[in-house]
Amino acid sequence: MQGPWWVTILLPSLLLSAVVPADGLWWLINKPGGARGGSNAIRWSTGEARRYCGAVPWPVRRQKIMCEKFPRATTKVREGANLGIQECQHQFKHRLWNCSTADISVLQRLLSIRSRETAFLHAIVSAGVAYGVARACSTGELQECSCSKAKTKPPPGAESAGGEWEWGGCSHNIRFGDNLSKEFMDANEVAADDTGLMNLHNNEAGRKSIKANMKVTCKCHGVSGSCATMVCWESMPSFRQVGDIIMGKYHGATYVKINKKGSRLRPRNKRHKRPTAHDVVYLDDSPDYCEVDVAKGSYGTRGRKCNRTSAGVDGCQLLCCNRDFVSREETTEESCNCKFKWCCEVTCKKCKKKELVHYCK
Amino acid sequence: MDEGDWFPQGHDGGWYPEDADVGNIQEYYDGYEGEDYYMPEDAEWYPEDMDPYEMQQYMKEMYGEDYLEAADSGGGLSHMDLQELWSLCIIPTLQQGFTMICPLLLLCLTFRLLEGASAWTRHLMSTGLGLLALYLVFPDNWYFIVTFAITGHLLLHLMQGSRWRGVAASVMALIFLLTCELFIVEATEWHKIRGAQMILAMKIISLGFDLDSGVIQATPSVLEYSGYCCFLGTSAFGPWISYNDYLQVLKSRNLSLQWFVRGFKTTLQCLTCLTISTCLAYWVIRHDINKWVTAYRDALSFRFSHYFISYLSEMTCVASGVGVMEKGTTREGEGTDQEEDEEEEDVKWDLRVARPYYIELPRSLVEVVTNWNRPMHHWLKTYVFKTAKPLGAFPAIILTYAASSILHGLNFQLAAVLLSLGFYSYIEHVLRQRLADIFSACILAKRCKPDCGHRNQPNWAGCVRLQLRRDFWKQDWGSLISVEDAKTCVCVGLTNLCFCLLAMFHLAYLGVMFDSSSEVEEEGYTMSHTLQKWAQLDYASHWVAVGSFVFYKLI
Repeated sequence: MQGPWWVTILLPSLLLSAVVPADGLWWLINKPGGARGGSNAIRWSTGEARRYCGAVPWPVRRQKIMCEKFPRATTKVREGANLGIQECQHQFKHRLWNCSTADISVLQRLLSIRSRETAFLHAIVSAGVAYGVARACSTGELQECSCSKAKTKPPPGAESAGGEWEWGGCSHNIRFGDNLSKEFMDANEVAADDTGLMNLHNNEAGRKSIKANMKVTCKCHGVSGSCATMVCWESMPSFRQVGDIIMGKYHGATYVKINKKGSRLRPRNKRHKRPTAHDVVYLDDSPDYCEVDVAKGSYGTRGRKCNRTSAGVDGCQLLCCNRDFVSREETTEESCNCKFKWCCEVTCKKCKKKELVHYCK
Repeated sequence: MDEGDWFPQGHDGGWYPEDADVGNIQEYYDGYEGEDYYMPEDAEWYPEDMDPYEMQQYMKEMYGEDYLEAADSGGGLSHMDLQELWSLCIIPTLQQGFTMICPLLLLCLTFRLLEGASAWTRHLMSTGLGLLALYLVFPDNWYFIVTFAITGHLLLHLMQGSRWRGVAASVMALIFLLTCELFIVEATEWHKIRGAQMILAMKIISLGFDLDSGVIQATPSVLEYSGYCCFLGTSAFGPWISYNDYLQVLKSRNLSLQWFVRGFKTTLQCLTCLTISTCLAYWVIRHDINKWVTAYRDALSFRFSHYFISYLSEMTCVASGVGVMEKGTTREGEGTDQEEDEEEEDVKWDLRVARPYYIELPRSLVEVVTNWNRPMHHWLKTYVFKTAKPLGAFPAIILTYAASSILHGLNFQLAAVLLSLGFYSYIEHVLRQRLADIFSACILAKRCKPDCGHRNQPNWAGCVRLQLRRDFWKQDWGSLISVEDAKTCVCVGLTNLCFCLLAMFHLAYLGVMFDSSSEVEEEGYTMSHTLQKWAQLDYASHWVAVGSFVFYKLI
């Protein structure tokens, strides 16, 4: 199968509307609690787990074992991947390539070209998986990553004036999310060739962007504002923030190639900054997204909605790649005249509005 | 060009050092730190491998000071929904709160339940358990407190029979605290035990003055003294109690349901305040809408942190058996029954350290100051104000606030806040008194008693009854309440409301700097931090105070 396995398995579940699940396509059902054969229970029986995991064509046997071991967590893995794709679509909403997942085969071909966009996709999906699992752990939906007692690590020495901490929070979430993300995302990549190296690197870059933005907040309590005791808790950034961070990395991605020995990736240009493990790398130039080119994974920009008044990349000039655009008058429905009723709902009327919408030719 | 390579063909192999001679490697990597070099297997780094304090230091080093400033104040709570808030913030907070409270509570209960036979057994137990409690809360620094206590005892013992024990004790306490803070102890460590040292200083000074004035007949022996100083219910966070109160504790009393209920209620209040201070205040007022709203939020969080500590101290006190026996003058209108049986006295378990209701919806700043820490207020009134009264009213007030600041330590922030509070409350008191004299209305800083003699004393009961009638628009008002009365109600009510809002404004301003930029939080806040925070709010509150003083002088 071409492209990463998760494209075929996980992306179709985005098609929420009007999809009739056929046999074997359990992942298209998006009921809470997951899949046909799955349940909303905290603990799945072995039979349920086996049915759930058996229906997915895992490319690597290890993944299937992981799935059977942590079936509920695997549903979170799927949800996390969706989250990643949605964030990708949000970030690229106004750009030439808009991360559309309408046609899976086109996306697969896109992913076979090792461009910046591929790099971004790997990073964001990997981050999404880690985030989704960690979040589910924090809110208690997953039992596999149970919170253990406070860490018994001794305070960092007298000289650093850290003092004694009793941090009782659930500290294993990120680690579990990370591990699962590694298991599922990295399992199918081999570090033997440049594509494998690049994907592994980008996956890790995505995960690191979550870890690096964890925040631990502490508050002092004591008599008259002294610091007799401290209460600390950790928080994850919102996924939008993570998406913004990875988008920044996309903009600063490094163009690399593999070295002669075939062991490492190096920047092509000696003068460029060496990429760290937090940065995103890519091997090939991006194709031209202006025209349709299915073999290269580009949908083109025909029929995209553009913004006439903008001078940026979503403006009708750049988005349509200097082709013409057509303007149509369309009636759109929107909520208007919203009133607050006592108590306590807001009722809105629907207004039909005629506006001019521009589409690229 | 070959795929964007910058060097011409035929040479791309030789540039990479691993492909060339090994000898080049060192030269090539000169100037690169380890972090810059891309490695496929990076060292695994998880935030939970580090302690939270370590991690904050790490983040600061990696990302610079911006890390702390750039994010939301309050830990990124703005994007959380209720469930996330519950599991990420509230649960860990409560867990940590329990971990702190439970050992103390157990020790206190042990003390209470073991009705020792003789007094000295109880003194001994009080000392022992008190030291244990100190050790639990301050594992690194408890010996400073013990040293202080021993020094105090030596002084009182040496000066037996003298008339100046009180003043000598004050001077000794001052010197000890200043020496420790400036020379001996590291800032962060001292900041932790500042509270306990303050309470101990208050105890010693009160002993000195009481011995002088004869309230206590005999100098306490070593055991009694150590039992008092290290008394379990008050050693770590506890409120100040006088020596006579302590002796009352030693009389064994039966367990009563009232005591249990009170202890339980206090624990609940304690944990609620902790949650509000750490999580809810930052979640309810999330975004930085307006600098004044943010200031109010930061001050609110600080105040609730204080209430948490106050309720915690109340809890340890009540659990150890400190009840209130005498009729106190500071409690308005709450009588205490004191039926003397042969053996038992009726104890009202009503020791109150802070009363949040009077501070959050304050009538005036004077009321805030009174209810902030009632035992300490009582102490200041009895031992500092009365002693300094011969010097005049205004100097006595200023000396009181100065004593309070010194006890809190050499902390510009607290001293500035306390001094400002001193001036504000004085100005408010005289202004309201003048206005009350002019209008003869009940708008004094303290609540009026029923026999205050003002003409415009609102008949609140009548006004409230008026409002509660549903058809009061149609009713003939004249029969229920006279127009003048209604006018009085409204006017007096509005005036008091204005002063209330003014007090809340001052409180928000004064509490703004106790925020969670933990870089300075642990060491005590510095002068520049304070002035910077106040400058951001344009010193508004100070100007308002000056304005009201000028207004007072004009009328």
